[in-house]
This record gives sequence, structure tokens and C-alpha cells, in this order.
Amino acid sequence: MNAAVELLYPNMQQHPEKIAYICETKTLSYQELYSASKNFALLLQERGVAHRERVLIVLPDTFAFPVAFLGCILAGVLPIVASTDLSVESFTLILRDCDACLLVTDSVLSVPIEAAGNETALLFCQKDGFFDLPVISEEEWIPYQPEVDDFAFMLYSSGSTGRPKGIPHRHKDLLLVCTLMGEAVLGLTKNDIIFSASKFSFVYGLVNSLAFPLFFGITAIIHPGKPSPTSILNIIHSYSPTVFFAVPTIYSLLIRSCTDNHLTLPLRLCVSAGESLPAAIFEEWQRLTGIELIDGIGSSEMTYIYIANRPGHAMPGSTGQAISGYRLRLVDDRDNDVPSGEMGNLLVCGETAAPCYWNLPEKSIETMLADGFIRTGDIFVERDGFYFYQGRNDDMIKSGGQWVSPVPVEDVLRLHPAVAECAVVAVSIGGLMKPGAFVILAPGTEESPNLARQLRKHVMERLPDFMCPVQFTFVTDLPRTATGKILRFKLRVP
Amino acid sequence: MATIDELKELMLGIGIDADTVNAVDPATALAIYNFDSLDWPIFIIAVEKRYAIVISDSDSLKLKTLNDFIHLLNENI
Repeated sequence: MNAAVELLYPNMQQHPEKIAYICETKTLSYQELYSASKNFALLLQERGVAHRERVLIVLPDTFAFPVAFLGCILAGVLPIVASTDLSVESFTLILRDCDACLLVTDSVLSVPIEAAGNETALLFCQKDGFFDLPVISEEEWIPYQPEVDDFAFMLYSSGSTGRPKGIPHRHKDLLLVCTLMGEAVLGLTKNDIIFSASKFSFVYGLVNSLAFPLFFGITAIIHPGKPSPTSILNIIHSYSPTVFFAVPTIYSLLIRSCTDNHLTLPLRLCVSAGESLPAAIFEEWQRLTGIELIDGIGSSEMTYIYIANRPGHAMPGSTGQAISGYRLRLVDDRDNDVPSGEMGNLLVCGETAAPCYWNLPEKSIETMLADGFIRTGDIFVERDGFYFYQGRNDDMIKSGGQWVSPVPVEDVLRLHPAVAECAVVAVSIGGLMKPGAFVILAPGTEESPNLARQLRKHVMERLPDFMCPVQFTFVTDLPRTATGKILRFKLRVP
Repeated sequence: MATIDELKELMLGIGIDADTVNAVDPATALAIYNFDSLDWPIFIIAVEKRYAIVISDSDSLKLKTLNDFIHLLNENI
């Protein structure tokens, strides 16, 4: 089973003229998507890219992304998906780790191009979001028929040390999530129109904007720019999507952008995932729009959401109930099950789980257990079948739907002459977790009103915005172990 | 009593550029001035620190304009 074939061919048979994607004022039909994807596959073949070789895709949300992603899978090539926001160092690590033979990107994205240097071949999309695909004879061309162990695609996620780790998935994973979550929980049908503020390069956005639309024959709206409240509301009012996906940070921005007492939207369903949803955002969104916010938690390792609230029965402050097809365990530090009502480390088991991390056998054994369960790193309490998020059992921070390791942020802060030592931990602002920094100043440096601003600017010049601490607390000491290692967990919000 | 000028000073202090701060109408949503997901928490922390108050999760979502901040502050300080 080739996932791209399974996603493209039924649409070709049922409604080739139906619009698959709307991007700004342009549209792409299912027929056009299929033809462009097939030609992309043929192009890879012509360039000599072999089955199972890796191609890194770093693209904004335009037509080029699904064309390149599906084209790779049709050709039996492994598409690697990474965010456009990464640093040169991260792109370099990813290119080397997966040994990519080709970088597919946009010529305006200088950072991945710099990382590719002269070592990785480049393929650019055009300004209109298409590729300059040559007309290639397709006689006798058939899509790649995967073998049982073949991977279909791979994502990179930030590791606890800040080093990205590759998470490969099988072909079936992209299809199963459509049944388990899209159909059984969200009730998606071909009559829906989807708009996801989360981008293709995150697994949440990839399923929302690629797997769901193609699996159900839905039209999806994609937006290449930064999802600001103004642009999101303009798109919703212009194209009337029925289902909207975003992270809680985006819902909070939408709420704050509206000074009227009521916001009328044409949506039937609003879905939140990517970070914990505070009850305050759930309640204010419902009061403002009259629409229930369906929260869920998933991960790149599990492909998509495995705990979610159900439409019509959402519980504020709870992430929801286990999705059919997934088994959950809450365990103590010795992996013994904890009783209902007690905090435990969440383990999850399901058919959409990644079998391993790429090139990280020890990390794989530590996370992907022999009995099929995966350690999520999240701490939950379960009551009456509902799960309540309690935080992380490591130092990772989920900010705006993106993982932040404290290590690279601390490394950058220590480069500033005013910083002697520091620790970066999660702080809660408006119920959302953000990075906050505890800083011991260098001798001779005094706390001043401008210092926090200077430190913030220093970080923002070197790292993506979502990694920047929102709070600087100046301290004279940091909690440490007997050997001097900083104990970040003692600084975290309780 | 908190004032709009004090809040605008705080905005300058967290790095919002002067042209934007000068243009802010106290009755208009700060989102219109491109207050983003980084500006919001930083500004709320600055307000909490300056006026020695704690803003709850639900209150923070109701703070959309500078007038909203003034209203909340004058009820709590």
C-alpha cells in the first residue's frame, strides 16, 4: 500500500475537478494535484533519486508542499519534513542525519539553502508555488509499491538536548489517523472545508491539511504567511471553512483581537492541539463564538492525536478521553500503573506509532518500549476516563505548539557578557506555557530596566521567536545537585 | 491610578517600537498593532511586575485594549 496512491486515486476517480486546495486567490483541483505530484515523482526518477533515499522538504504552505510530499511518496522516496523557522545549525544537522540527497525549498528561504551549501542538491519551487516540471514520458510508469518495512515519510522534532531527532512513519499511519480521529471523533465528510493555522511542516498541520482533505475528498485552505488574527479571520470570512484547526496560542490571539462581545464564524468545529489548552481559553472561545473547542493531545511519534474531547461533550480543563484504537497507561517512575485520580507518566500504544527514531537506537529503546507502548514524557491524571494534563517529566517546554529545549536557549544566553549562569524553564502566562529564564548576572553587571530587553533581543537575533524567554528573573543562585548540575525542575511553575 | 502614558512607557520598555506605541489608540485592540504571541506574555508580565498584581488566566483574555488594562488595574490597585 502506497499512502500517496491511497490518498490521490479515489479523488481522481470520484471528483477530479473538485478543488483540493485554495491558496490565497488560486485553486488546485484534485486532477491538477495528481498530475503535478506524478510529474514530481517522475522528475525525481529522472534525476536519479533512488527508492528510500531522503529528500528534505522545507517549504511554506503553498501548492508546492503537497505536490513535493506526495510526489516523493509516489516515487518511493522518503520525504523529510522540517519547519521553515529552523536555524542553519538545525538544518545542517537534519541534512547530515538523514543524509538527504536533495533539498526542496523556496529560493527566498536563505537559511536552509545556506545549510545545504555545496553538499546537497537543490530544487526550488517557483513564485506561484508550483515546480517547473518537465514533460516526461509516463508510459509504463507505475507508483512505487512499498515493502512492509518501508517508511513513507519522516518528521524532525526537537530533542531534549536541542538536537533534532528524526521520527519515521509507515504508509498506513497517514491513513489510519483519518479513520481513528478524522472520521470517528471529528465526523469529517467530503462536504467539509478545512482550514488549519498550523503548517504542513508540523505533524498536526500535515494531517489537518494533507491527510484529512485527501482521505475524505475535502477542500483545504492553505496560507503561506504567518497566521495572524487578521489573516485568519479574513480567510475564514472569505472562504467559509467548516472546520478550523489551531494551537491554543492562536485561539488566545483571536480572542484578544476581538473587541466586540460576539464573534460570528461559519465554522461547525474548532479543534485545538499542539499544547495544553487552558480552561480559560476554552470558556472564552465558547462565550465569544458559541463554538465548542475540541481539545486533543498527540505527538509526532504517534502521528496524530490519541486523547481528545468529543464534540458536544467537551470538558473544560481536560484533554479528553482516549481515542478508540489507542491504549493508555499512567505509570509511576517504576512503570507500575497508578490508580485513577493519581498523577502518572503517560504511556500510549497504537498502530500509528513510529517504530523508532532515525539513527538513535538507544533513544528508541528508551522511548519505544518492547510491549508497544511509547513514553510520551507527559504527566496526566485520569478521572472517570477523562485525562487532565499536569506537565512534563523532563525539561522540555511546549510553546505555541513547538518544542523548546532549554539547552540551546541557555547556550545563547551565556554568550551575552551580562550572563554568568542561567536556567531556562517553563513559565505559565495566561495558562499557556512559555520559556522563562533565571539569570545570574556576571560580576560587575547590575540589573537595569533595559537588561531584560537586551537579553531578549540577543536571543531573538540567534533563535526563532518561539524559543525566546518571555520572562527574565535575576537571581544570585540556582538550585543544583551535589555535582553542580542545575536542577531546572525546582524552578518550574508548580 | 494607572495611566495610559504609564502603559505606553511599559510597551516601550519591552521593546515595542516608538512609532507603534505612539499610534496606539487606547480603545483599539492591541492585536491590530501586530501584538503577537511573544508581545502579549511579555507585556502582561511587565504590567504584573510594575503594578504588583497577578492577572488570572481568564482576566488576561479580557485584556484586549489599553483601556481594558486601565480598567483592570484601577479595580485592583
